[in-house]
Amino acid sequence: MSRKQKKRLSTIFTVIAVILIVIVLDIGLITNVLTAFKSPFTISSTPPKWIFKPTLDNFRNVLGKGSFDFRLYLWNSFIIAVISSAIAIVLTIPAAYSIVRYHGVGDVILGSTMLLRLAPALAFAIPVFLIFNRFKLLDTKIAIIFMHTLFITPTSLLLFIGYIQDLPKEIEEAASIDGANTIQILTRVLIPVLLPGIGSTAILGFITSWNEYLFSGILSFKNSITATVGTSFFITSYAVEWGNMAAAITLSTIPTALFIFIAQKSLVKGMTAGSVKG
Amino acid sequence: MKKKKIISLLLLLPLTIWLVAFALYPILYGLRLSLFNARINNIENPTFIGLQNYIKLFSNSEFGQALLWSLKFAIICTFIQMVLGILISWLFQRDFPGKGLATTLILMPMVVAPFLMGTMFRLLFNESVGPIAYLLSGLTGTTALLGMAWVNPTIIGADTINRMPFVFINMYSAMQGVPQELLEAATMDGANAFQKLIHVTIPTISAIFGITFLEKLLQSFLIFELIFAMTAGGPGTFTQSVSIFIYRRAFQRSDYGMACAASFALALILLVPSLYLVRRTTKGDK
Amino acid sequence: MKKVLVALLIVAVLLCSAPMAFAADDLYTVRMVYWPGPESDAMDVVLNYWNENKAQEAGFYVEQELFGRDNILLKEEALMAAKSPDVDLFFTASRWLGKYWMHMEPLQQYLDNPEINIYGADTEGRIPATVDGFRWLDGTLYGVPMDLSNHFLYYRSDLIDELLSNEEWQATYKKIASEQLGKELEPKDPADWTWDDYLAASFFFTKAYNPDSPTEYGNFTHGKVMGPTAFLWTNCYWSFGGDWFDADGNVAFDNDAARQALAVWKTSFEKGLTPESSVNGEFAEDNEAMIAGQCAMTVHWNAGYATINAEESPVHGKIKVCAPPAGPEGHFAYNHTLGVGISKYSEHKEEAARWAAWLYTDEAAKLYAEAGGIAPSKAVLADMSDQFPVYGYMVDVLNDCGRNLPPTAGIIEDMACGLLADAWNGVIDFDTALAQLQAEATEEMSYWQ
Repeated sequence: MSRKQKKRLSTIFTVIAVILIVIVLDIGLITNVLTAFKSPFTISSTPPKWIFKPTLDNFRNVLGKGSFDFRLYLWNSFIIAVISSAIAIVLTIPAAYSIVRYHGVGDVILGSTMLLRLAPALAFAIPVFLIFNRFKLLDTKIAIIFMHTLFITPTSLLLFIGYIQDLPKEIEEAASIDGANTIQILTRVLIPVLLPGIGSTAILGFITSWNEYLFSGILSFKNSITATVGTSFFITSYAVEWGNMAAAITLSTIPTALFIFIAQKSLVKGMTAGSVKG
Repeated sequence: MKKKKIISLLLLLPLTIWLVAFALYPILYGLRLSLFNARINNIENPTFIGLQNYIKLFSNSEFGQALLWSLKFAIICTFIQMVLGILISWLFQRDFPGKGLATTLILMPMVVAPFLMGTMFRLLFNESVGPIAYLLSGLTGTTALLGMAWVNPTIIGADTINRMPFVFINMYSAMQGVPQELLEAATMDGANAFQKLIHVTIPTISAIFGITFLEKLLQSFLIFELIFAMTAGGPGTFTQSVSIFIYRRAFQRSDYGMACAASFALALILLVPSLYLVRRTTKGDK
Repeated sequence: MKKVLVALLIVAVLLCSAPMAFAADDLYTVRMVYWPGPESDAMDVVLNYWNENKAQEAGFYVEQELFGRDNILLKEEALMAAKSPDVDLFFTASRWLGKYWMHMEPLQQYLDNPEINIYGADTEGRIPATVDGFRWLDGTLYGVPMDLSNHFLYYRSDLIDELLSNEEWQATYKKIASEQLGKELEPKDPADWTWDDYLAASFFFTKAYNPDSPTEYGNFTHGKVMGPTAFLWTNCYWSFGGDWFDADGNVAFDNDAARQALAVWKTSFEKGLTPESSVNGEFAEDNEAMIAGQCAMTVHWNAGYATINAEESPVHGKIKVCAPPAGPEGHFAYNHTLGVGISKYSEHKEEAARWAAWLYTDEAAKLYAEAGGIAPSKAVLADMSDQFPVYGYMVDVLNDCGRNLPPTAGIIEDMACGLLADAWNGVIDFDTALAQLQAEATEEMSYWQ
């Protein structure tokens, strides 16, 4: 076998293996999307049907069901996810800069942020619920944003530390000789070169917030319900409304899936830049 | 020099405020609550009961069993997912048509909230009508994937689908950073692809490997949403992870003091591996 | 980064394109907490009717605020603890009243006031058990029962008919009953079953014991760790003479009735009379198993009937229901009611009360029932039983042997389901489970006195 043939053969094997892996990982999502187009008794048929007459009823139910305002829930999710990841970025860039360039206290903050990432989130649930209740913040988007930002900061901080370490010190030094102060260095010099990193950090933050269930669920009553929590409303006191639920999941997955599709390359690149130092 | 120090502190201030307000304060509040008999009906003036909650927690075997189950689950899941994650990212080191699309598709399970995916798994793994249970019945010999015999492997499988992409993206991006020269040198020495993985790639990325490993271990140990949706810890307490234990105390029985006590006992148990991990993570940055 | 912004923009545009409508008017809007699901779908219809036809006369609109089903109690309790005037009516269930009746407004005084109750509504039109479900132990009424749930024994009438007429089947039945249960049992009409007959029939319709059985499994037994699972078992517990609380209101689980009832449940799981995964199954899984024709019978919620016996269902017309099997104390059919009560902290109690009074009318009940809810009005259920036969069965079964859990049951619901499930799954033995349940539940109750 020539080298070329060998290579081709190995490529074919790789492709087959990858296809199998993708099928296993995504079979849940695929069957879920199929379920979204099934009528209730198609869902309940044995053996399961893979070919059937699709229906849009489930989507109609999800979007036009009296007091169940799925559009509001999607909108809430969007606002909460965008603001949370934005705040997390604003909080962590200066902190990362301080940690990389000055050390000292920063290392303690870094340590505690990392501890936070590993802490059982559930431990916060009851105290946070009672505290927000006391401050009359329950059922507001702000309460959820506060908590989501907290959960995004560790990853975000770690990534920015990685990016900033990669930057040559010379740019900043040149700017500071020109008389720029720290704030100016941050906003005029650092931010522009960090933009790609900010992009992938923002996406990861957005996904984290969009998919969060526990705190969004506890802290929202009615006005600040997110799409994830709203979708869980199809688990009713009787049956689980499988079709409606699958449709709601499909709809609420579109934004996050879109992000991954558009930004997969920069996501991996961002992770590489942020993580290699370890 | 002093000015520099002030600037460094000022830069840290916003994040610090956030951590104090939304992490430290709730933690202290919860710590205090764990010394009280606090339920929703007396939350305005709970009764101080000292360490009673902790004594009750450790004299009841349920908490220990939940810890044990979580530990076993974490070890198995981490092992499986690390091996798979590394093998798949190793596969992705070569070029093949559609690689970009394949990467995206592998990351797809990350886009659905674990709680929702878990609920859909209830249907997909359903004994009577579940499409996936049906597809798998050739392998498992039964469609009763949530029965006593199969419930643990099923949860492990579901968690692997859900979180292996996290391992993959970490490992894959780390492997991107392995210097090409090292690999080429190994090829010159006649190493095959697998030998290169074991002798070159993994040692080079050992730092990030260690971090991902520990982080995955802790994540799996604390698994909550997926199990909550699929079995709620059942049959009985058979798949009750430690997070489910706390959740039931806190939200189904509204026994806040006990839930906080269990949370802190858990946090203390996890403190040693966490601190070690934090040191490993931050060491490289100094 | 650009790509991210573009994606963000696309998502934002997609979301904004969804129009959001808000009604504006000077009238006050009464806010009522309800939970999402078939109940809120039905309530939507009632609300729309009110807002279009009655609101002007009564002087206020009504809207429902859907709190998620998970943690709805936690959220309501938070509002109560904060004495919040943000909602006027709370969603409640008969078994939860014990946790928070003190935060609700007694209702009778408003019903007796003709200026508020301009509809002349009274509680007489409702099934008495459901109204009593909303009374605290001292008899004070706190709510309007809106949605009734009860348990039936569902069975495949085609198979039972065959069993009652086919001599070969009967011989096999007797043989299996004496082999498995050590008892001489004859096939009987399910309405006359004891739990022994139930188990014998379950053995008979399980392929593992009877290769000729048309179904794979005899029954479907709910096993999931959640309160409702424990309620289904309670039918059996009652029939052996037990109850969650004794006459003095003390927790009463550590007794022989509980052991006997647990043994029935355990037999189903241990002997494989119910699908293996039913240990984690509840309402949804039961429906699927019955529709798939996997099981011959099940003790299940009334609401399953509409789905299992629907036109498109493969078992349509082959499903009948009766009261759950009997024990030495006779038949019992668990029931509970969901409904609403007025918040003590509402600043619009009179409006809320007027609305609650109207909900007691048959007019409201009929709208609610026609939209798929199960309003426990005697007249409406009787009227509609031609169209929905299950309503008729409900009335019959509840009249014969309906029984409620007391309003304090919700406090120990989670303990009960956890430990009972551990017992019937064989994770721990009966004595340990029951002793632990007795001790824990007694302690828990002491915090709520």
